[in-house]
Amino acid sequence: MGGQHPGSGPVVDIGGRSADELSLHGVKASAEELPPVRKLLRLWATEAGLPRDEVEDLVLATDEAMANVVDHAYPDGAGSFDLDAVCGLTGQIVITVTDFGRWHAPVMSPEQSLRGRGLQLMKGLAHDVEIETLVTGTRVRMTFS
Amino acid sequence: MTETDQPMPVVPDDGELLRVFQEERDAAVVLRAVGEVDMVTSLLLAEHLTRVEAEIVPPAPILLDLTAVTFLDSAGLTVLVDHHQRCADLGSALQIVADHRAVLRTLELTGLDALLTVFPRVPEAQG
Repeated sequence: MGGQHPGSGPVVDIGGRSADELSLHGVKASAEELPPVRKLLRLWATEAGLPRDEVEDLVLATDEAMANVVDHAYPDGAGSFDLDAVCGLTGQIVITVTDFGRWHAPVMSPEQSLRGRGLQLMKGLAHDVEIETLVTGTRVRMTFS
Repeated sequence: MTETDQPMPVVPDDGELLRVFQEERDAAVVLRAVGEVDMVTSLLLAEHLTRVEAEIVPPAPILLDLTAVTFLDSAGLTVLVDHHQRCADLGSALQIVADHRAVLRTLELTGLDALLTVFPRVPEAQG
């Protein structure tokens, strides 16, 4: 994913990762995990060169996607999710939050679960929001340009 | 301004993420939140609001000063909406104080700026 593009400028290390990509995999789907993840994402987006307001938009939208995983993906117990953030050459940022849960399936679809103000915020903050149901879980993909 | 002597309970390890201070202004109560309001710390904010609602003498308002809140998500919005209604039911009013993007943009995007009462600053004490 992403990787290093020629001409994308100096690579800044964040925890051993390049500045144009942040991958946090196997994050415990628990409310207490969200503040440190927000902090890492805020740091990464700032290092990637985003203006402060855009950093906060991205952090809030991602927080809502992660909160939905915490609230809905694992009704029967513990689980985890992956967060990937990639900054393209044009400055476009793509954030994906992938879980491996069932979202109360078949009672509640991801669209139904991602309801209310959380989804309203994600759609208002991101340029584009896609929710994909996978065999293994659900992936929310948000684009910021 | 003194920190309320309420415990910082509910969820362990929320550390310094959110702190809530209380101040009396005439009959009104000012709750000043400092930090981030998310799905963990919104529980703490709700506890403080519930406690003050039990003490307030209507029609005196509760002022919730969010000017030092740097992050507010939908869990926090739910607390604001719930307690806006509770205060109205009591004959009091929840007055939110905010003048910055972290709060105002979130309220605008969800349309809650039309429901909630928002002031740019805490009014000066009378007399």
